[in-house]
Amino acid sequence: MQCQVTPRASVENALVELRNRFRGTLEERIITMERATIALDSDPECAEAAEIVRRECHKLSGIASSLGFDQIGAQATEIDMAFAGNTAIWTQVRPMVNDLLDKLECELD
Amino acid sequence: MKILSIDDDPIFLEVIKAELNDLGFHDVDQVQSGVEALQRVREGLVHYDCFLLDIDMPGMSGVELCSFLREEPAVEGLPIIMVTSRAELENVDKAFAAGATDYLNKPLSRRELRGRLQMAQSLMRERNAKKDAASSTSDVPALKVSDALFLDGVAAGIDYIAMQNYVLKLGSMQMFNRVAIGVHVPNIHEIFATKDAQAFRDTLLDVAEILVESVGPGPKMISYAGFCYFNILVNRFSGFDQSAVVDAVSLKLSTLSEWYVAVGEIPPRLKLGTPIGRSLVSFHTAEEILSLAIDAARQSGTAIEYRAPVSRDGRSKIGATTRIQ
Repeated sequence: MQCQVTPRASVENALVELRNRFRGTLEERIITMERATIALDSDPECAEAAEIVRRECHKLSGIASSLGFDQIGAQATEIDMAFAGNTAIWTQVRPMVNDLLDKLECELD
Repeated sequence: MKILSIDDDPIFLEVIKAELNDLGFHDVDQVQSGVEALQRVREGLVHYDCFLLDIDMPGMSGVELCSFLREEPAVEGLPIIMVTSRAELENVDKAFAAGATDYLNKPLSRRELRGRLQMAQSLMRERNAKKDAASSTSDVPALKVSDALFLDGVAAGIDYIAMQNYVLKLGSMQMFNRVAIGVHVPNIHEIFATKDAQAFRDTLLDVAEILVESVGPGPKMISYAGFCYFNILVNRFSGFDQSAVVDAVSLKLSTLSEWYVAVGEIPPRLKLGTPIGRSLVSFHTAEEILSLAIDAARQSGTAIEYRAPVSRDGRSKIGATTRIQ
């Protein structure tokens, strides 16, 4: 008997694979953000490091929720929004980034 | 429908592709930068019917890419849909000004994606029908007087469907900051009957340019809604002055009309509607404002007078102001 794959089942299969691929990128994302975080801790005005954090959060904001990682997506969106207003103060954003990093690490386990 | 999807995140590209496939769109190409996308279009080896552009990409941004794509003849009239996150909503304004047709939110919603793609399909069918109807001896697609027309080359010109999508995006509260001004061209049928498609198009572009130049320097958008109506969207608080605009249009239209008459063509006549805004307690939705602006121009618009250009000594060159209609 031939196995029939419905369209929705096919997209769900693709998404399962993409979720795994996404998990596979988390370690690198965490390291990138941690490096930028250290740079910002020593110089909160460091624009280059701030842009790295913003960009990572921006990407996570788009992709994480699309793949069902809603908490990561929501936290990343909050940070992205904070940067978008150009009023982000690192000491205020820092706890949000910590929270995001914790959530990302949970997905690694 | 052949779709080109552009995003610097390869996983997001795959997510979009999976969802598009699920909706029955299997012909999807993907690239990870604006430069690659432009190269594909310029090579012309593949003809695309729809573009999905991420806004925030390193190097060439989605807004820049949109602007470059709109300069390509192969992209004329095709839907460009921006894919954006909540933090980028301000950039959506710029994207519409650069020629975007619509936008799609991240995270991806299947329902939203289906809606946008259905709109893109109907645009594509419309475009193909126009091409088919075009004369075999002319490169200019045939036009009907009812056609909404993209104001190609006019600063701030956007598709009417894009303007409708834009006000939907603004929503009722942000629409409070804008006013819409409808412009009626009462003798459009007369003009249409005496010109070929290209000349008719040129007349509409002339009118659009006059209107854009006359509404002043603030942010603005203009579209041609088809039949005989333009719609202009301006910032309510950027010093918009209706009587100054009427004066400016009148002066520019007079100069244009002289030229039309000199070459034996019928000059356009214009009626400018009162600006339609939305009060904070208005029952009108944002998108209804556009229709109301058109109604205002049709029903009670100020007929623009032809005005004689003034010579250097301050005297009228050809006598008194001529009121038309």
